[in-house]
Amino acid sequence: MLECAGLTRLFRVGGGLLRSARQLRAVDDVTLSVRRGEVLAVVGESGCGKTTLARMLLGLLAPSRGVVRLAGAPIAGIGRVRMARRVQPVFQDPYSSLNPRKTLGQIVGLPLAVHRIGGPAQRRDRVARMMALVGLPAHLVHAYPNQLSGGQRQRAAIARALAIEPSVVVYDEPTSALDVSVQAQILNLLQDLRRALDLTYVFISHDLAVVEHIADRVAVMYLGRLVELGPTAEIFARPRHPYTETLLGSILTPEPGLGLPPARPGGEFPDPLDPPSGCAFHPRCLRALERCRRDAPAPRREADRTIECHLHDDRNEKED
Amino acid sequence: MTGVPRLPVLELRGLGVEIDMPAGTLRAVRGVDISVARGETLAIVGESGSGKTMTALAAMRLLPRNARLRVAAARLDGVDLRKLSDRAFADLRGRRASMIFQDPMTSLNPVYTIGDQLLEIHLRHVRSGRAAARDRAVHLLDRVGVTNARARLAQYPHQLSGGLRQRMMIAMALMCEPALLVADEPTTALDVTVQAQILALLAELQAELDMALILISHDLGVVARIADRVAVMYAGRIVETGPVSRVFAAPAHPYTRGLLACIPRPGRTARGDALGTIPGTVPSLIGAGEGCMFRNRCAAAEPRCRVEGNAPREAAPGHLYRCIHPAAGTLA
Repeated sequence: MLECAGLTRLFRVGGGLLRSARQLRAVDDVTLSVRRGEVLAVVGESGCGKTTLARMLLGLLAPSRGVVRLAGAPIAGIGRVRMARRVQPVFQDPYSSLNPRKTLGQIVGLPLAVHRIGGPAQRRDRVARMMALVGLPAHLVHAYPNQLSGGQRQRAAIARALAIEPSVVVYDEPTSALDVSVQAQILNLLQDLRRALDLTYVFISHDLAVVEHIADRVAVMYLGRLVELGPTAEIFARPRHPYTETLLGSILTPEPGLGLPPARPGGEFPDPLDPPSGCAFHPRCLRALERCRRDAPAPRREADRTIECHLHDDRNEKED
Repeated sequence: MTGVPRLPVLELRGLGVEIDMPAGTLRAVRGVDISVARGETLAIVGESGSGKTMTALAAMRLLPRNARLRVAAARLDGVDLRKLSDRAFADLRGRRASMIFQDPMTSLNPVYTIGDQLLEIHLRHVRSGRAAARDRAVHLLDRVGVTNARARLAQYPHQLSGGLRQRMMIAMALMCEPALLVADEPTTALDVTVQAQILALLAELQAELDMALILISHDLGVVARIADRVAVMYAGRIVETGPVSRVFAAPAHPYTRGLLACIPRPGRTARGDALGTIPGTVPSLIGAGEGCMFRNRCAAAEPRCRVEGNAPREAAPGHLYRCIHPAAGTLA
């Protein structure tokens, strides 16, 4: 449905009269595909490049290298407007992503106007249907964002994204600004909508419990690299990359008596401007080999899984 | 927690916080009782607007200017806090009781070095000279896992990562070995792997210094893993409180049950299944608010919830809840 190959994005950071600019590799050689009708989650900590990846998948940011394809066609040739009809974003913060001076009706209806879909009456009708679909009471059509709760704003953002009937929706941390009771409502809504409208989701999140609940497949990113990719159930049951293990070990479910996970040494995220040599994770890895310091591992693709770790190279497999 | 209950370090009875608004008086905290002993962790959980942060700020007398504090009894380390002037209270703060906040960036002063900010507290309260203060700062930075402690003293907050800044804040709070530490969402702004480290550090330091710890959080996972007792707040009241193991295994209040059902739990909630939800929204906190504040969202609500429902009932020794319905059985 939506795929990318060798996707890389560099940013120039700093630089001025006396200092030369440095290069930040926000996303580094990422290859993955989103299958029709699935929920693909992209997880990782802040600075891992997940949002930059999302922006490139949306066509909002041009890659430095590599290509994004939608249904087989490179999106560079599709054009921004046509791309937007098929791939829509929903952002984290429903407070800053809605225009405070427009009513809810105007906000949800704007994509229809931009894409010149239907006449005024048809648009009003579609807006009403979208609002009902996402569980917003009809009388709110004249309300402004500041009159809505956080959950209602996020529902409005979802209604706006779905108004032009896209086939893919890219969610960037859609529930992390919400209270847990509201988060549950939104997650349930996303699942219902996906089934009802036959949608494909890319779901960016740092919350692994949420990801386990909603995603079919998970892509784990670390310092711009895709370090592990596979079906959710497999990744959670048998994580293979040490970073995935660390991430999963940090999930705190509300089970009293379990205590805290054992503290891991060297836990600080490295400076992305000055990434470690070899495998970027080696300074934090408890099982790092000599060559992890030296050589960057290449992605190893198996049936349903991709993993980028020397521990899972052919020649080390036996030592494991 | 085992053995004989120890005398509380902090004890608050009948705590109320009121804020005058154009539409009326907003009663953010409505009669909260809290006590926490040395070596004990009390977690206060709730969603936005539940009054958990206001309760913490009230305990530290750090409420915004427009807020009115009411309290029937307040003791810290045996001292009657109601008799203390603001100036006398300021002398306790940082020395006997410290607080750390969610966002370490906004609670550190960007134009002073880390050393200046750490030393200030010690110089103010301990007055044993700069060299002693510096030694204490280096020792604590080491202890909270900041590498290169001596060199870090000359750095500014913006030069540190989020995790390091939070470690700094913890070191700062512990400069004078307080009896009580109040931590308001100390790990909410941090990545998950860093969160686990900071929580482990807090738990270790608490045991080492035999401190009372009040943890304010919206995250039931964090609470379950580090607290001894929990107080669940809703609309300004503690609706349920008790040992964490009891409250999470056998929640007695419908709100607590609803909250626990909302959370995806790997291994317990099946993928793709609907999560539990709490319908409706939090009621207005303006006005007296008779009866149970949760009734408009509660499936079990009945007419008498309008007037009754605030008297605490006992589900088990030390496990209290405010609901007219008998405590339902254990949640699977």
